[in-house]
Order: sequence, then C-alpha cells, then structure tokens
Amino acid sequence: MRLTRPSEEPVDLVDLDEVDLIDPVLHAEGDPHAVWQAMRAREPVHWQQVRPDLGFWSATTYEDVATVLRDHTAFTSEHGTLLNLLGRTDPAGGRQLPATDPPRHTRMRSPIQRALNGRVVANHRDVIRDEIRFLFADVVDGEPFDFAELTGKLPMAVIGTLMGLDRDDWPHLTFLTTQAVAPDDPEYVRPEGAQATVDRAHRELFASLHEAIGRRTGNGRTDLIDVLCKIGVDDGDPLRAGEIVSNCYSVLLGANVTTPHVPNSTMVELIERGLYARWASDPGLLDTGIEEALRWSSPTSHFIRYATRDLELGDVTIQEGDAVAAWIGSANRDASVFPDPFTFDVRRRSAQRHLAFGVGPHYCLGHALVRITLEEFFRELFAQFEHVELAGEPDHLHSNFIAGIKHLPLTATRRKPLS
Amino acid sequence: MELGEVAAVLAEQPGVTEAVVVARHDVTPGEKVLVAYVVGTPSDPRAALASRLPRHMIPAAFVVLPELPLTRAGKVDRAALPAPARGGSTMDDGSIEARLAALWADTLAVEHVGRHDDFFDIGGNSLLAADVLERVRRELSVEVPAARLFFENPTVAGLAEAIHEEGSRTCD
Repeated sequence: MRLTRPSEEPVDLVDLDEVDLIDPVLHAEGDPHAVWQAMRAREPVHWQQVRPDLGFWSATTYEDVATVLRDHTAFTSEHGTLLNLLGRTDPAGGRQLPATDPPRHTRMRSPIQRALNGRVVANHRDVIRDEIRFLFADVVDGEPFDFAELTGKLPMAVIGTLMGLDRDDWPHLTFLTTQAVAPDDPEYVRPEGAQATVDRAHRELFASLHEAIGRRTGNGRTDLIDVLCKIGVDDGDPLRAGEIVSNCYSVLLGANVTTPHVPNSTMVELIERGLYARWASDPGLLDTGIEEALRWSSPTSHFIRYATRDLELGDVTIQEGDAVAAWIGSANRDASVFPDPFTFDVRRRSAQRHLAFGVGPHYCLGHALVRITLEEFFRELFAQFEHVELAGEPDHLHSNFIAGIKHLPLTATRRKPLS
Repeated sequence: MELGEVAAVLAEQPGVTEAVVVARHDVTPGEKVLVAYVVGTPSDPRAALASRLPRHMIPAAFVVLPELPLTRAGKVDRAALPAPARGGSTMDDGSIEARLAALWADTLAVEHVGRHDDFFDIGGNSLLAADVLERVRRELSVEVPAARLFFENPTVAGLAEAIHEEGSRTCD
C-alpha cells in the first residue's frame, strides 16, 4: 500500500458510494488512505454493499476500531476475521486462535503467550542480531539491491528458529505465506486463479507444518511447536492434530507477512523525507521511532468481526450478524489521537498508542519478539549504513489484508571504519 | 431439516435454475445417500451448501442434468433420476481403502465416501486433513507423506496407495 499524504486534498473528492475496499488493486495502486480519511471525516462507520445479499461495515476512527477489536462479546471472531472470507464460514472458527473467542481463546493462548513473553524472547536477542548481520552481509556498498527481499527473510530467521523449522524450507514457507494473504497479486497468483492460489498455499503450508510436528515427536528439544502441541494436555482437552497445525500456521503467518513491511514502508518515508541520517544519528530515539514506524506502516490493514447483537457503533445501528471491518491503517492516521498523522515523527509521544498489533484479547502474540527484532534491525542498519537512496520505484502488494511492499530497490553506502 | 429445504438452498445459488435432492439406496448397499440433481451451471454447489447447512445434510453427490425428468402430472419423476456415476470399483470391507473411507466419512460426517472423491470437494479442509493423517498414524500405525493427502492425490485411492508404498518400504 502506498502511504500517502491525503491531508493535502479536500476530503469531499472521494465518492464513498463507489469505493470498493475489497479490491486488492485499490490497496496496491490506489489510495486507501485518502478513502479512509474521507470516511473518518464524513462517514466514520461506512456500509459497503458487495452483492445484493452481502455487505460489510467499515470502522475507520481510532475509537471505533479499538471498540470493535476489544469487545469480543459484542464482536465475535468465530465467523472469520478476513474480508476474503466474507459470506463464507471460516473452517478455523473456534479452532484457530485468531478465529476463537474467550474463554476458549484464553486457554489456547496463555501457553503461547508465556513462551513469547518479553523475558523469554530476550534470550533470543543474540541469535536475532546474528541473523540480521548475516542478512546485511550480502549488501554490496553502493550497489542496488532489493531491500524488501532482504527484510522478507527476517521473520523466518526469527520465528523459523523459534519453531525449529528446517532452514532449507524457510524461503518456500515465506513464499507460501505471502500467497495465502495476497492470492490476487500478479506475482503470486497461480494460473488457476486467486481462490485456487489460497487453497493450494494453505494445503502446502499445513502439509509442511504437519510433517514438522511429526518429526519432533520425542526428540527432547523444546521449542514453540512443542508448546503448541502441549496446549490443554495438563488442564483440559488436548488440541486435535488439525488445531495444532492450524495454530502453527497462524503463528507463522502472523510473523511472516507483517514484520518486513515495518522497515520497508518506513525506509521509503525516511528516504523521501530525508529523515534517515537524523534518526540514525540518535540512538536515544530508537524505541519511540520504532513505535512510530509501527504506526506508520500498519502492516495488518484490517480484521473482521461479526456483531453478536444489534448495537450502536458511532452513529449507526449495526444488526446482529453484520460484518465489521476494523481498519487498523485508518485508526493509526486518526488525527484526534495522532496530530498531523501523515507526518513520520520519530519523537511522536503518542506513537505507542498505535493499533498496529491490534488491541484486546487478540493483541499480537509476537509483539515482544517483533519489537526486539526491529530494535536489532534498525540498530544494525544505522550502525552499518551511513546513507541510503531509492534505486527504483517501490512495488506494492495486491492485498486488502496486508499493506506491504514486494520490491524496494535501494542503494546503501556503508559507514567507513574509524581509523 | 427436510430434503426440500436442502434443494431450496441449492436452488438459490447463482447459476442454478432447478434443484432436487433425493435419498438413494442404490449408491451404497444398505445405506441412504443424499444425491442432488441440479439444472444449470453451478460453480461450486458443495462449497455453497457447506456454509449454509450442517454437514450431514450436504449431498454426497451432485449430478448436473440438462432438465429434470417429469411425470405426466408435471412433477419431478424421482424414479427416472439417474444414479450418480461413481469412480472405480466397490471396496472390500476390511481393505485399507474401506478403512480409510470409513475414517473420512467419520471425520467429515458424511455417509458415503467414494474411492475417487476428492477430500476437499466433499467437505474436507486443511484442518481436517491433519486430523485424518493423525488418525491414520494412530489407527493404521503408518506414516504417510502429508503432501499426498493435502495436494498430490487427496482421494481414498491415492492415500491407500501411499500407505501400501510406505508398507513395502518398511518391509525392505
């Protein structure tokens, strides 16, 4: 998704009756930020009719998006959480973490949360730093390279290690997870079409993870997959095989398709606005800058919830069973929480209120891991590279779910060693 | 839920002009099997029904006809509806294929599974496929490559073949 500055345009130019927020092309080549800005100003809770018998609400303000994500009794996750599943039943409902409501959700989530808490993942910091140095080692001083290809390898270097997945499988698993979230993208779609692309990607991922689980039975190591396998064994019904694989998939997907786009989108802005050198030269701004980078990039664009009863959201009445898209990218540009929202400000105090990790029961399980990864990534980037420049146009992902950049040609100049 | 309601849901699907659902006794001996007859060009009637109906009400077979046969009184002539074509021979009860078919039927909560039915066309999904493989491991004491069921050949016949291959490899 292009991260634009529609604040310079009048908000009444967008025809909200004609907008199609499902269309992946809008998210790759159009300007969803202009659409969301117009919605926040004119129709903060907006209805889009998809077919005569099907439509969905869009929540676009910070407050409404937070309400929809937080209030799991009014807005259930069990009928599917993605626009691409609109009008269909989610087979993972009640079985996979993102599509399960408390209290069952809590029982499934707690062991994973313990395994990924800040203190535990801090032990992985050295390994993560080594992996990042390994990735940067391939960058040739002053030569164009694809920054998005480099960052694309970042999540597997972290989650692949934590899950004990075979290193040889990392590139293919990365490709498959992108196919699963961007099946319409020309670079990822199979000749048989988008639905066939998602189906096949899911099956290959599930098959690969099923085998990875089978291989570890009784090998004595403890990693994230072992944690997932043991859920409920001591305190309730153990998860079924399909549920374990499904949750491994969910963790892998959550890491793979989102993390790279924080540095990708941020880098474009730093370069275009000439902000790189200033942030790079002030290590004290690393933490607030990373929160701003999360707000700015908002890699996860939306989650869907379904109203469990008739209720009011903003000034509209939502009926029981209606789908509501909580647009996270829009909430993170809400000027009432983030003044001057279309400016990237590494010192922004309110940045940490961003909803890039969601909010409420489904708050991103990997948040501590992502923050450590981003800290090490930006610290290493700033330490190794003095100057970066665009070497071509960014190429954006066709997806209404993930705001991402597929290719980002850059040149980077290494710092001269101090003599 | 009545069969008429299943047919009504089916008739609402895009591309379907008429639909009738009957319970046949001549598909699997001793069992009632739901068969849907559809006039029109349905895209994926099974998937459409899967989101609207409980699994046990989803027909095991869909037959597309140019028109429904009618009696002189103008009603659908149920006796003239053809039996669905089933791929392959019938299965012996103790065979690997029969045990797999029973296991699939149980997992998918369908009454009948043909040896060439695609797992993902008869109500299966990736989550359930992992459940099936786990039960195959436990109940038949054999590990099969997951790729076989997930995408290479997701049929009872294909999975049985993989089990035989694994068996002969273990004996070597």
